[in-house]
Amino acid sequence: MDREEAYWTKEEQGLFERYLMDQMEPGEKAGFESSIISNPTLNAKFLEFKALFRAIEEAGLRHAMEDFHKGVQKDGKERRLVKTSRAVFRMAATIALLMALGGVWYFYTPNANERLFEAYYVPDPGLPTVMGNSDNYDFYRAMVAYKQGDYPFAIEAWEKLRSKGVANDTLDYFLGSAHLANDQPDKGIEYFEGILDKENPAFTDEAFFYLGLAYLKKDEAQQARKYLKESDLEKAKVLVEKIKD
Amino acid sequence: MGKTLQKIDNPQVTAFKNNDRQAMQKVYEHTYSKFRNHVFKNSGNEAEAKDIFQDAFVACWRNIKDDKFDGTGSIEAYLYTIARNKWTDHLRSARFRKTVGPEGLSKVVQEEGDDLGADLDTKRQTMLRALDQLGDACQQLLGLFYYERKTMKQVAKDLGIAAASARNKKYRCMERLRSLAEDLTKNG
Repeated sequence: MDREEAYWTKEEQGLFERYLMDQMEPGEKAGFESSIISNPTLNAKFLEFKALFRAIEEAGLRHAMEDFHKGVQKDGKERRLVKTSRAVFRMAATIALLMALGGVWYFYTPNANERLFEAYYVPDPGLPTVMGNSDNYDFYRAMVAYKQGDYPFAIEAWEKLRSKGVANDTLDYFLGSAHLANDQPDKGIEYFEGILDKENPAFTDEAFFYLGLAYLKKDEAQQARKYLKESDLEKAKVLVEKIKD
Repeated sequence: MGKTLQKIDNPQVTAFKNNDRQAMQKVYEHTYSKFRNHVFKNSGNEAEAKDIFQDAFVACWRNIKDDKFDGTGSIEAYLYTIARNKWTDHLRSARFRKTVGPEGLSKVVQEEGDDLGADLDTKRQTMLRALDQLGDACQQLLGLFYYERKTMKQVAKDLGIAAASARNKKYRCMERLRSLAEDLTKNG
């Protein structure tokens, strides 16, 4: 260990690690948070400590995951054997039932469209996030959350932008996408329909496709078909043929 | 401290924040099987499923630590969504991406290379590289204390040294790690 001047004091390290390991009482925690807000030097020291602390934790987690994975592989093989025998039994039972009901029962269950939705719905993967442009920082920050599946965060951030007067098809399209991904098809529909009411909107084919899917999720087959037919996406054409009334 | 979402009490969240091995393993095993089925149905293999899933697990764990998960649903569902989105990104990673309207968010973009670890940002990579260069003794001590959350007394016992000595070593190891990270940041 070289004798160069230390960056943190022992007290600072102790303070930072107790904060990061959630070992502070509420009062002390609040005091610490306000002190790093008012003291930029302390804040910089804390952020450096936190980054290294997280790296140590992440390395530990990655190591642990290798052990977790061994359990999955072992378990997976065992489960597959059990599943095979169960699957054979289930298949035999299903065939018997289908024969008894004339062979078409499966396709006319009330959940057929729901199953189609599940089979065809994958949330729009979002835009690549370029954080360098400060004008769009809030938008892209929410895009990062969206891509990580944190839809409530993305919705909140994008709706805030909208309430500040930012208005464009891209924002509305991803708001629609985030609502649909967040199990709120009605709100998704509002945004998608809003885009498609405009002249030459962006994401036309995608918006029609997801609008159709949103109606499919609501089990409104006629509406779903109507909008899917408007989309030029190949998957929309395939899906529309499979929808049952 | 950055923006956070409204929280509700969720024991799974607390377990993840404390790096609780048993709880995390349960979530891992439960969710991986489902995700692997999704990958197999979408032209992927076991190795890809594992790599993407482990990146997703780390992203999920980080989000929980940073209070970006609101705790209203299960972590399994949250993790599965992240993993599925990462898989979709992976599938589309080499493809031409859509252009955006003329309102200011416009970019004609080509997704970056098909690197499974691409979501590790530069700073995180530097920190992890610095940790890799740290001696084994320091890595072990810091891991026991910060990741496994053992008390200093337990750490000292595991390493066969006095608690005061372990505490000093921890302090110096962190300083050493910072110095390595600083060098890597300056010199690459």
